[in-house]
Amino acid sequence: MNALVVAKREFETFLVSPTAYLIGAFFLFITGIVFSFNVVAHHQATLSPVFEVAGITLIFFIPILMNHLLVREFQRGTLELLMTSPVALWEIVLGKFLAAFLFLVVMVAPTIAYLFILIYFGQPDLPVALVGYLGLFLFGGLLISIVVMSSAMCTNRLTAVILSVALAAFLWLIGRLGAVFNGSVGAILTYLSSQYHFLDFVVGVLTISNITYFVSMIVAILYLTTHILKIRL
Amino acid sequence: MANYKSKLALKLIIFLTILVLLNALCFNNNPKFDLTEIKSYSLSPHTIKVLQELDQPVKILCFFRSDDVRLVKAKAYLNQFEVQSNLISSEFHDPDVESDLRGKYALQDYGMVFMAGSKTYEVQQVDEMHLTHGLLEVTRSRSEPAVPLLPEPLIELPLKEMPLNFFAIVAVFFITVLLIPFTFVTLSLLVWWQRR
Repeated sequence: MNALVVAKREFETFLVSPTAYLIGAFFLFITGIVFSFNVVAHHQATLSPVFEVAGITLIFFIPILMNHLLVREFQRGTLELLMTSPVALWEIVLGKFLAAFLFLVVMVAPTIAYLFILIYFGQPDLPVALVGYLGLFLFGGLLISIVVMSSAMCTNRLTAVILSVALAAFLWLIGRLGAVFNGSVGAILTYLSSQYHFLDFVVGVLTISNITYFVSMIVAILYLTTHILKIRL
Repeated sequence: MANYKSKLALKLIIFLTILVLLNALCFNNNPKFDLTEIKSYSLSPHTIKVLQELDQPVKILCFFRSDDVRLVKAKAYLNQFEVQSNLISSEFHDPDVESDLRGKYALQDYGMVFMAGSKTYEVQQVDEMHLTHGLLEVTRSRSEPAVPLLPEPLIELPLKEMPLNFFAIVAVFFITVLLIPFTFVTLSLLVWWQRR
């Protein structure tokens, strides 16, 4: 319950941040261009290219937008203050995650208009689009958890951004190494890659292992973040 | 402090082990739901029948460079093949790194070699049709006629044609590239104005 209070407070800071809306606008501008180009040039009634580009874009945009989550608390010394209230560390971490996730939903929500455009002019594969959204939110959740962890490890925002982008890009690209190695090492490296799991959602393929991967990565990273905070305080 | 750190490490190890085991369990029992209308990412019934009717082990050796786009496709197909039949096994090699292997299997170019008993068959193109054909070539008996290539099943995303007239194109551009992003820009300006 306390996590929801933290989430509400944090979400309000997103809503009154001009930068957050500007980054949202830039994100929607890029996805809008990809969508329009796909519709106009290829006449394809699909959102798959939009999801693919949105995923890559979020690797950069989420750290830029959400790097302040815990860094600001450290800089202002408000985390110690928060600790004096009856809020557990895991509730603070979860609250920050939920607030950032909710803002991600706000940022992605306008792309529903693309789906309505496709329905109006063509016959899109609706289940494929819905699975694509599920994948985008799971992938976004993973990126947010990485940002929360980075902001718990760093003392300034720029370092948090760099660390988040580096970790997210590493997780995205590690699958390439999987192609180099044979056998179980290759399989494990490929499985660790977020790209490998995300692209299945993009094309409309739903597997239990893909959902398990994202959920367990998010839980593991948030759990680690709680302990990082415990050590730092 | 040392006691606290060892407790913390133990907790972390237990927690991460549970997650790894959960992932391993899901990876090994991984139901797949292909939600595309024409099941674009599933094997065709013909290929599934061929795989399920295999009566001898088939080893498939893949020789691709790590940056070859066919490598990813081959892995995806062979994963699906291995789900359908326990008699399929595969190995991946980089012929540039393991140069002696290419000579050993008399491979002319990068590609795949299907092996069953004393028979071998080389496949260059990585698609369902050629892979299924390769399977049939190495498993058919001498008395059976040569296997013709079957029509390529759809494996790419189906193109759902959506012809638009000029006004529709303008409307799409206006809504998606201008209206939606600029709503966010306006919100940003409003917030900035309020905070000033």
